Amino acid sequence: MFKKAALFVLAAALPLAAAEGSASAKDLNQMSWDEIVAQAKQEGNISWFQWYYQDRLREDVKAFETEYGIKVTLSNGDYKANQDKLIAEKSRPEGDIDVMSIGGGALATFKPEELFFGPLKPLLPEGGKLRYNIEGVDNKGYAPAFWGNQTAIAYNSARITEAELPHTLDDFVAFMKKNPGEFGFNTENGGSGPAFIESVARNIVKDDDYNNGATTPEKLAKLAPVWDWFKANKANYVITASNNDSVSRVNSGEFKLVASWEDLIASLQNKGEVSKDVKVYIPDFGMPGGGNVVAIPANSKHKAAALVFINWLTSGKTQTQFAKSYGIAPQNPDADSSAGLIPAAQRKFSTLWVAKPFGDDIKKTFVSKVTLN
Amino acid sequence: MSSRRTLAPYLLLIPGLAPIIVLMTLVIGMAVSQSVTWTDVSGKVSLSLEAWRVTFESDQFWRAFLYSARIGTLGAILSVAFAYPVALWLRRPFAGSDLVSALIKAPILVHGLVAAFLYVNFVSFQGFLNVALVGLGLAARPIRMQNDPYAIGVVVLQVWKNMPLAFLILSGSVRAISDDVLNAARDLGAGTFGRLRRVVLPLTLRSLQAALIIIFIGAAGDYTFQAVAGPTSLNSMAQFMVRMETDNGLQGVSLAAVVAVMLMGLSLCGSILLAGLMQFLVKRAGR
Repeated sequence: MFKKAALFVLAAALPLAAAEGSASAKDLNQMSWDEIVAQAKQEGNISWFQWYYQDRLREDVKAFETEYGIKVTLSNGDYKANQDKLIAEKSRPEGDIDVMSIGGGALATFKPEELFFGPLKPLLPEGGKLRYNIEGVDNKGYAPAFWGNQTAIAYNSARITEAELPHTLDDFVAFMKKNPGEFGFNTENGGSGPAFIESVARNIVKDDDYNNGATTPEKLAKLAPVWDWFKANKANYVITASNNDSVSRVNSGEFKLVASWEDLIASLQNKGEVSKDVKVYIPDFGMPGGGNVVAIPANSKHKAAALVFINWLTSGKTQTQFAKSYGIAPQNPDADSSAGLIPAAQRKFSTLWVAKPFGDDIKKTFVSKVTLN
Repeated sequence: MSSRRTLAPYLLLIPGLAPIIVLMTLVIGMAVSQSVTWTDVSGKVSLSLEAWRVTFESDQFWRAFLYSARIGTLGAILSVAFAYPVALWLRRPFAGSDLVSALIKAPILVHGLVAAFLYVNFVSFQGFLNVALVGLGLAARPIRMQNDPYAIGVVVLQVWKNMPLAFLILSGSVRAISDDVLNAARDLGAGTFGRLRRVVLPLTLRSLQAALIIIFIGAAGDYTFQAVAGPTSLNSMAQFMVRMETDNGLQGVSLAAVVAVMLMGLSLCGSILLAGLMQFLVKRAGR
């Protein structure tokens, strides 16, 4: 008897709980910001699924926790694990993820309106100022950018002067001939080397459709001159093991130039792990820049708290702090962007990443046609 | 009653044999079965030898195959070559021999990944070795040794990690040779080298073969040393297998399974060849 009654109560309560969840989601659209903050404090905690710098970000979010009394738990998963979890639990009424970090370009492979709560643009007090079109993908206001990053060429100024830096592809060929083994880039474990490969491809084969992510045998076949360029110069450059390997080797003076990330160098310099002699620039033929966005999964349990957290994360104050600590390109116009390592005049050479999966296939083809051949 | 008696010993073997047979069948069976499936673009899976055809037509696969065979062979032979004289030296205990023996075994306690990173730090541009070479005036400027294209670093790591294993296997069999046998050989006129060729080597042949086989299988299937300290222009079989799986979408698992089956084949054939070669050499030396 007891069992039946318990089952009846459970059956009656479940739809009510679901209705309550959807009602609170609807309510957020009608609430004032103060009401959202009040609800966020009631919710009390959020899970942020972020795939890099988790240890350092745990320290940074303490300021948010102190200000709002909302606890932030950062996941330890890598990018793929986080994405797999998001997809795996999208059909559950309530998921474990409250705030999801994701690469700006990756949203081309999702329908934001199906996976995420929002759009956030009208809900955030500074939503109108933020950036939603990143790496060539417009996420329609569902996921504001919180991390701008730029690939670049890092150089050791103790070994090469600014005047000697190569700026065009011809300059690079001349530099590599004159300085064999002094330029390095990675193909695995990080995107800076692949960014350089993409940039060379864009400049040698200008008429391939780089903004369309679909890969076709014809598009890859068109890139044959790119592989020829790399093969012709193969004796004069070095393939490194990773982004970090490139940086540590340019820092030690082994290389004069390496492909790298502006934020990686800035972050390591701030920690004192890389010398201030290491500087970065974008060559005239351009290198890709982009960023990462944050979104709230549609089945988040703590949407108000997630919204308040995203507001804090994308605020001018936090973005200025991140620019100083991590060397990011701030994504809020109120932030101080003077902390970047790349000279402002060179920002115009920043290009879009080749749309995925074509961009990934360029790297894979490089590995098979150039590195392993 | 008699049939029960006949069956009983076989039934008693089941608890020991079953896990071995089941585990081996599962692993090999899964790899082989996945290697003969093929997933087309629509996601339809069918029985096919397409993965084998694609893999066998790939130059990169054969380069990885030969590279792993080379690393396995060099690693096994050099580890045994270094361990054997030490095992002979430590055959009779002397003051401090336990300490030497313990020091030789120390690398067994260091994880391969740790060893690989330590090695990379040691040979890096500003690493200890380069600082010493430049400091001693033996090199004008640091020499680039990290991820060297000849895989010297990988072989060094394999030998460093596997020599203690070879030492453990060989020292037991070397110690098992009684002094009576050696004295008898000496009485019959065998010199030091003669005793080694005609007595010690034949009596330790099985251990030599075991050491070679165990080290060859581990070194041929290496991923860690190769990924951290190996040449960036070459893949080992294990690395190639992972790359096949991640780079080839729906067909990745089938292609990786082919590489896995070929890696098992390499381990089996390479072991037999090395063991056979050692037997041949020992017999020749004993003539």
